[in-house]
Amino acid sequence: MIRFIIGTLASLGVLVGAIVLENGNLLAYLVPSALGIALLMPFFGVLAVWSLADWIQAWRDALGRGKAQGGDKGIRKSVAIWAFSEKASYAAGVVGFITGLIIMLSNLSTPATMGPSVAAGLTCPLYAVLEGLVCRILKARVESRLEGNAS
Amino acid sequence: MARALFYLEALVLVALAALFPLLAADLSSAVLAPLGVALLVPVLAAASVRPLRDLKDAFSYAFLGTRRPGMAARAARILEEFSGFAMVGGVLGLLTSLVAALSMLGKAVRASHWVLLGSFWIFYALLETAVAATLGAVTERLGLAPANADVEGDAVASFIERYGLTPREWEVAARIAGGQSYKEVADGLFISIKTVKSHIASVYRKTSTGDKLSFVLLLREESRSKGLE
Repeated sequence: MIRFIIGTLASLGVLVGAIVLENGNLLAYLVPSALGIALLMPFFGVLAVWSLADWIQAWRDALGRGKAQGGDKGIRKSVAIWAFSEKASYAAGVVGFITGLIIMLSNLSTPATMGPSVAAGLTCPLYAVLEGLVCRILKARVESRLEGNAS
Repeated sequence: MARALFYLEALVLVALAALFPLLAADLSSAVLAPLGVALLVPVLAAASVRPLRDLKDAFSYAFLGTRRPGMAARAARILEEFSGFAMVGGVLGLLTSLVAALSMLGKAVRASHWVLLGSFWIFYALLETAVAATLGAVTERLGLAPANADVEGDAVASFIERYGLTPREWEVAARIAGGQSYKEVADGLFISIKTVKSHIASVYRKTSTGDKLSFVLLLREESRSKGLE
């Protein structure tokens, strides 16, 4: 669990560091509605297939250590949940981007705002890919518990 | 031969990595940051899953490659994971750069600098993806060859029964797990490649494995607990 927290936070830190180092504007990356789409759509997608308890168990399987409790079948279900979450994140990113594009195209009368609105639209796929990376890490962690050596 | 071809591919990719920046006008400022981040993100992601020592072992095993089947499966899985992280990290970099570039479209110089950064970022990340994926595939192919092709007995019967496999499906799956190609299996069993693919897809579905590596790992798990080998 500590490995997961340090590793993912450090990845995020590297990304933020690169933005700051190259004089990017961090505020341009804060778009709450895009964050909402990227986080909620995959979550509800998971709930359409599995139960909330399964989702919580998938977190436990990913963050626990040693050989998993629920046996191979339980582990495979958690792997499936994380694999689905990753794909659903990317899908949500595309949906968010197209939504942003539609909003931008319907306001073409003010060309000066075009750049920033496409940028805001692109933050949704950005959040989604970041989320996809986290899901991929969690899936790999669950899979590595089949070897019994996650930590 | 496979390893020699891999070295050739790695050489071409490294040459590409070296030549590409020379084509860019703004060399100094656009290379180091993307290269550093493209390397760090997948390494840190891999470190979120297992100790970094395992990643180092997988790479060194893949490059030096003594024939140890037990290690090969693990090394191949770690390299496959790494290649996935590298690809996602690259897309992340491209999007980060595009957001920055678009949010400062009024300042053309800074915006174009960010587009350049993004291009380098995904370029290096995709190179990493290609190297790690090829390395993983070569490792898997060389290391798994002598595996479970000719297992027999009660343990196999119980494995087949538990997952509801047909005898033909098991026959195909055991040969694939043993390192044979689809064509070799098709020739050996006098069936078409299409039928082989359909059998193996059915086996992966029934065992909830999804790919060859997971199926081989499942077999190994079973071997350890039930003496399948």
